[in-house]
Amino acid sequence: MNTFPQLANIGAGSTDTSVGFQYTLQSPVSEMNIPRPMRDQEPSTIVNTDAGTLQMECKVRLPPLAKARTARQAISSLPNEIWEGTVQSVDEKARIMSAIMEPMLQQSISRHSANISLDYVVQQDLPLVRPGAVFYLTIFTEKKRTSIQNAEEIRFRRMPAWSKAHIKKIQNDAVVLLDCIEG
Amino acid sequence: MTNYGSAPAGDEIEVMLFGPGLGEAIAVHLGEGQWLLVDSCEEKSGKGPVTGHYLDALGVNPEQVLAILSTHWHNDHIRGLSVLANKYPEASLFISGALRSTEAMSVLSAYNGKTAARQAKGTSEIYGFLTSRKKPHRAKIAAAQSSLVDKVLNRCNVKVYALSPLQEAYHKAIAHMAQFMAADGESINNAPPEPSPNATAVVLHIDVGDDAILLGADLEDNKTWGWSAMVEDPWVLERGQASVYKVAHHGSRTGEANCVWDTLLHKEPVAVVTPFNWGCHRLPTDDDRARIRARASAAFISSDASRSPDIPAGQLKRMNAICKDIRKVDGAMGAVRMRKTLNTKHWTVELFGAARPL
Repeated sequence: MNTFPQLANIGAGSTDTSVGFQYTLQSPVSEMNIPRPMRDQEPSTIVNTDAGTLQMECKVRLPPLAKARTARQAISSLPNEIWEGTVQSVDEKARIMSAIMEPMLQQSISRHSANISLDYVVQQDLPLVRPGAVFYLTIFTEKKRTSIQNAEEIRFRRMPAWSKAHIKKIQNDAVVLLDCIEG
Repeated sequence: MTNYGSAPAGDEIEVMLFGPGLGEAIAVHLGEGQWLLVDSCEEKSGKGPVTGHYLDALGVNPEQVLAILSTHWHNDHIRGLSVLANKYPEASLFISGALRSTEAMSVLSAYNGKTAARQAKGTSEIYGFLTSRKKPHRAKIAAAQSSLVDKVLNRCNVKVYALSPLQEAYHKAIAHMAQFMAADGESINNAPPEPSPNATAVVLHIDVGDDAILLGADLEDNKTWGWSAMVEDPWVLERGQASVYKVAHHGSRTGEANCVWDTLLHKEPVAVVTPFNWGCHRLPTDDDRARIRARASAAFISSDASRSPDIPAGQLKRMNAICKDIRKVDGAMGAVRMRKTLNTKHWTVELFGAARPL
């Protein structure tokens, strides 16, 4: 159980039911409400790193592996189709984006265009909705222990920001490219 | 596979226009087996450029392609362009002069497909097109009054001239590109939107014998950089009137200018148009069709196929829950072929696939 919503980078488990996790704290530790160790949890150790962030190691008792695996198998998602879409235009007023979508699984299906309401875009992806942005519309079947459910999801591809190294390379490439054209 | 029959005779001029619904490509036989390719599109994503397949079907050798022109940087005109450049290594390459700027090259370099592959489908085509040639066979620019081909074929002068872009379009292109140059710390999430309105497109005038062909690309009308500005140039008015017109900008009203029909074309020429299918947008509209039919002796569209979704019913039902106006982008490939023997009056028109009279 992750008791710190601010914590990220959860490490992978192993067959040992007592596993060490390393977290990187994303806010100063003084601002965090670090709870007292829980019943099945050994005391945490907090370490100051060179980078000024704090790392915490804690021992958490996990359920036996066999049980965890059974729980995972109970829910599975089977994609029926994944459409890769490219946003062509966005109408902020009407809250609609126009996109061209290409199927990624069944190549025999051709490209389609569609208008999609921004209401179907999750809040955290809304800033990414701009012409040129790429998203994936997944149509899948979710199998739970006692039921089968159809579901759809739109997620936008997130790219890092341009770095100084990128910019330098682009500038050099642009000079070479300009030289590919007769003046 | 479409049977295109045999290649044109040496003294036959041919204009072959392809357009599946979103895309345009043209192959022009200038005479004596020499070809000019203008823009590129694919029948289906990843299938390769249609004009390459067409020339293969006619048995044209790679060295018979004299030049390849990219009229402008719009995704519906450039799919497969880099493949063509490599398939025909001896062809001269031309791009719109308005793209020869540090700003445009920076945007192309940023979105050349290496950093943001999925965001760079169009830009990587132009990048591949330009980098396919090395000195001294670099790509050349096509700008108003520049000559792309000047040869004697069948004892006739064959001249291919660019009538645009005009100088005013250069400033617009630079300003547009400057907005999308990569900046430190900014997201690389988005590829540059295509320039609109289209000021940078290269209009071609092809003089063959006693006739001419006008390929209008996607140029729109405007008094400083569009059709109206172009026909004010006395040099443009000296060009021979064309009997075939590839209607500009998919027949839309924005690409329409009376001065084109009145000055650059014969009375009642043969008009050909490619469709532009985009969501609920459809070009040419019914009004556009009527307007073109009224000015031409005969008019044809490269594809008039249905755009109903082509998705399995169960999946379509689920997609309809979140997507509206789902339409097939590429209705079906079609092509309009016009041939005529040098120094004769009439064009023979053949329709392939989904092509229809307008």
